[in-house]
Amino acid sequence: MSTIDPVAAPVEKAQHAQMSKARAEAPRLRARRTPVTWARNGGLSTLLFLLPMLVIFGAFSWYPIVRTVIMSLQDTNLVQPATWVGFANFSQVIHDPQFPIAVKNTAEFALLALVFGYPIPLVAAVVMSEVRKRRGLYSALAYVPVVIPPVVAVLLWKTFYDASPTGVFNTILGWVGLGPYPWLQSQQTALPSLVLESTWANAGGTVIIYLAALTGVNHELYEAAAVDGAGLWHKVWHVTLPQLRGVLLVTMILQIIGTAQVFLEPYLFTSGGPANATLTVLLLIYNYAFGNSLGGNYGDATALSLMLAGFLAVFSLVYLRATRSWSSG
Amino acid sequence: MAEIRFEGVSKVYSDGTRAVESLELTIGEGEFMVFVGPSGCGKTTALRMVAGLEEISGGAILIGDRVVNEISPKHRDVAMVFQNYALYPHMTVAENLAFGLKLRKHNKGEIDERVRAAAAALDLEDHLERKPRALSGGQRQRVALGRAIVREPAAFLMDEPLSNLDAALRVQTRAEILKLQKRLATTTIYVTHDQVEAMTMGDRIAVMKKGILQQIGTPEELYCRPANVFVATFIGSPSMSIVPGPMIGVGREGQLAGFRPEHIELGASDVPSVRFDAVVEVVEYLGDEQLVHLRLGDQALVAKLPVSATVQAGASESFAVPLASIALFDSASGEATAWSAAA
Amino acid sequence: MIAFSFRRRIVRSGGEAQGLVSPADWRRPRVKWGLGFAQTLLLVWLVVIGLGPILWLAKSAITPTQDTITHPMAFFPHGFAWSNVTQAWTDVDVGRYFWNTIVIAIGSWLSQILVATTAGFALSVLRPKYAKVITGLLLTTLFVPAVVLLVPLYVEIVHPPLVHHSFIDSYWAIWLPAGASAFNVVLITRFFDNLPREIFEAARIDGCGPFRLFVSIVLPMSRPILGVVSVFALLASWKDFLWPLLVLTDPNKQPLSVRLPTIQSQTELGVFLAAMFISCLVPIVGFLIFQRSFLRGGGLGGAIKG
Repeated sequence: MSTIDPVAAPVEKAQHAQMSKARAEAPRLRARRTPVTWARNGGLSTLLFLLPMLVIFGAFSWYPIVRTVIMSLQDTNLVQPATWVGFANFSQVIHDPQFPIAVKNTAEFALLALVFGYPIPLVAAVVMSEVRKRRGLYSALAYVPVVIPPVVAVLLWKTFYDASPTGVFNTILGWVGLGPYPWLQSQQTALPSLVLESTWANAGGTVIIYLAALTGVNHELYEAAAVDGAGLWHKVWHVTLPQLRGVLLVTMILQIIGTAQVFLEPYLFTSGGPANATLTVLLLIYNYAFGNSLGGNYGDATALSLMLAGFLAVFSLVYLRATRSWSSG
Repeated sequence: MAEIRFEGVSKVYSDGTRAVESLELTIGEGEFMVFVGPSGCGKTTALRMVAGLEEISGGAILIGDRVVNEISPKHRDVAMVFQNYALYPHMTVAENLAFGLKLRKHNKGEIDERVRAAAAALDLEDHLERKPRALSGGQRQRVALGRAIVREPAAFLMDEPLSNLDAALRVQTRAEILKLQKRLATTTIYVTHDQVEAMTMGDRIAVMKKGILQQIGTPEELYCRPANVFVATFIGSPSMSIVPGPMIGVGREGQLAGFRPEHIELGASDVPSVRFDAVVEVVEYLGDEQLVHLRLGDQALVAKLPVSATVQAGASESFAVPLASIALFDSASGEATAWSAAA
Repeated sequence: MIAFSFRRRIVRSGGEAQGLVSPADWRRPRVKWGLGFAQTLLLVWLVVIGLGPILWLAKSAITPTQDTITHPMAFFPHGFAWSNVTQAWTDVDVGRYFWNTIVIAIGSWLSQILVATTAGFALSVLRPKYAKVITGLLLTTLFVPAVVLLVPLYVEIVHPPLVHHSFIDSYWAIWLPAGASAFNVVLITRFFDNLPREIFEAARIDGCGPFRLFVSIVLPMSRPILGVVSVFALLASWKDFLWPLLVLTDPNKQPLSVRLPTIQSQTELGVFLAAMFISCLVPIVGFLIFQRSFLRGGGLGGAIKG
């Protein structure tokens, strides 16, 4: 089992004397590494342990990343041989009339998702952290939507969003004399409807992250603040929020990165409609690559995905730089 | 049972730190050797090189007559007791004890036999089925010892095994380890930073500082004939007082005089002595004796006096130290030049 | 403002945990009633939004289709329709898709656990000199959004290099890429980093080679983190949609999530809702059983990404 070394044979006295002489003369010699000593010292078994990761990441992560860059500079559809086209794919994407629509919708989605999805989990988590009995029940309830498969969630909400007066939401709103609303079928309400469902599906995860961060707040800070005469609101403002700001900043950027890649909701709810009102960048990439049964336009798809990734990278960097002083202060 | 030999052993870390420098040392069969020194002196590194946990940068280590430089820990036939015990948390006490034997493919009957014997020797029989986290600190420590003794190895290597115990338990366990080692007569290297532990346990003690062996000898040799100022002050508590020789009228310029607290007498002495007046700063009453902190010029001294001696803090008193009890050191090198100023 | 200047110096004490609202605060009627009200309100709201949709789905799964369409919020005006469930399971073949989902999830889980534990062990415990380079490469992939991989991965599955055989409609096309989760590797490596190294050293002296160390010492000590990673691996696989949609074109091999949109267009509402209910049963029951791992993992997500 072990690749380390064989048991050394007993050494004869004479040999031993000779060896110690050799040792005295060249102590450095021993330290020299050869492939053999490397393998004996476990180098081989280390590599063996790394092998699954190297193979899997090489094939399904590192190689595809490089491949994306190459494909974005090629005209390729798997049918004809690929040809180099330089940045033609990029300019083609930028001049696609659907491109600005997709960008605008994606930005709107991300923004609305922030408005809906950012403050509510924070308030919920702060209130929950002070629950004395059955706190587990609260967090479990908040987390249930997160474990529901997104496809089920979307299709279920699609049923809820039924635009007829007997749709689930329209029925409920009808009780208080509102509606019926067209939900997914109107250009005005389609995108917000998607955001609503997405917020419902994801907010639980954020709540749990905040709760974990809240339990990490040093209780002595609250005690110190109380001794200093701080009331409840002062404590929230001067202890809780400052202690959470690192987490708050991270969840915000993660949420933006996530919503910028929204696909499932527009794909399953509306297929980008009505009249492209919910066409997002990812849906556009999907349409380029897989929307055409005659063969994908992989060049445009990879070019657009690289542009999105590039934008997100730049955005994150700027964001982190801009908030650095605030987050470490 | 085997002799352990360091032949010019050095350890240089990849960042250039020289942890151990050409260590020459032989530990006899069945000997209890203590490596002692302040933290960072290389004692633990030396021990870990014997265990095979650190590569040896230069020189050779022999266990028995086998050079073990290139041999994995598994095949060195040594057992180690760690500072934090390093018990396997997911195994019961019995499984912890048996693990090394199982890996060496001993048969079941023999493993059970040895585990039972070790558990009996260490008073662990009632805890064999417990997990380490259910044990007290002292019990965990005994399991760690047990894991070493069941293996019946050529040598025990112990890395500050008592430092996580409270003071009372430490004294008790110290005696237990000694008894065990004498009974098994297994060559042992014991690393500690505590000179009391070193003095009470070691057949011989190796004092190290900054990777360099300062002196090796029996406790008595180290105490009475320290090789240099470092050993002189490191061994013994309170430590030896060192003052420039001429200050008390012994030796020449450039020599230091050292004497231990118990050799300072109040008033005159009936043997050839040096005499000096010093200011009493603080008196610590210990019951059977008292520690008196003195100031002699700009030097701080400590005297251990019988409780019958009446000294008053703030008063200036006359003290004597027998010449035979004064060691002389070269102030430049720190090396001892004489262990008695009487001659 | 004074309060948080103490932040760095204060060491957490083991005393009675006191949160934002101190016992003294609790005694003030305004706090007591105000907070009590907020908490009750929150609970009601959480029940409505957390459980509401699932309960509605459960109810509708056994309600005749016509009742659901005309009176979605009524309770069984014309009795039950258990036949929805049986019809979904047999006629619509949900049973088969259910099984497919399980097979896909278990394979993906195995691949993720294998890759993450072996790599974590090598990087954290064995620590070769080149570990830094590999960790660096791993961390870069954390910053590459998933969308970048979509197209080239698909092309790779259709026309794999070296092996000239398409992996379309093979579960390997899902299992293998699932293993490439840098998040898992980082999570497990960090956990291994925090295990006491003395124990590994003790094991080496006891006679463990690297393989034995991995199997007998490191893995058993890692149960908590393996639980978290497993729960998330299984859940993620159960939730996945786009990738199986792309690489599994044979309906007989597709998992539930991919089939549901088609089922919706081909069957009546009641049967479809029953199928939907069946497909969220496993994750919900799993969540109820392994709540602790789920919630701990959810909290970890924020910590490690940050």
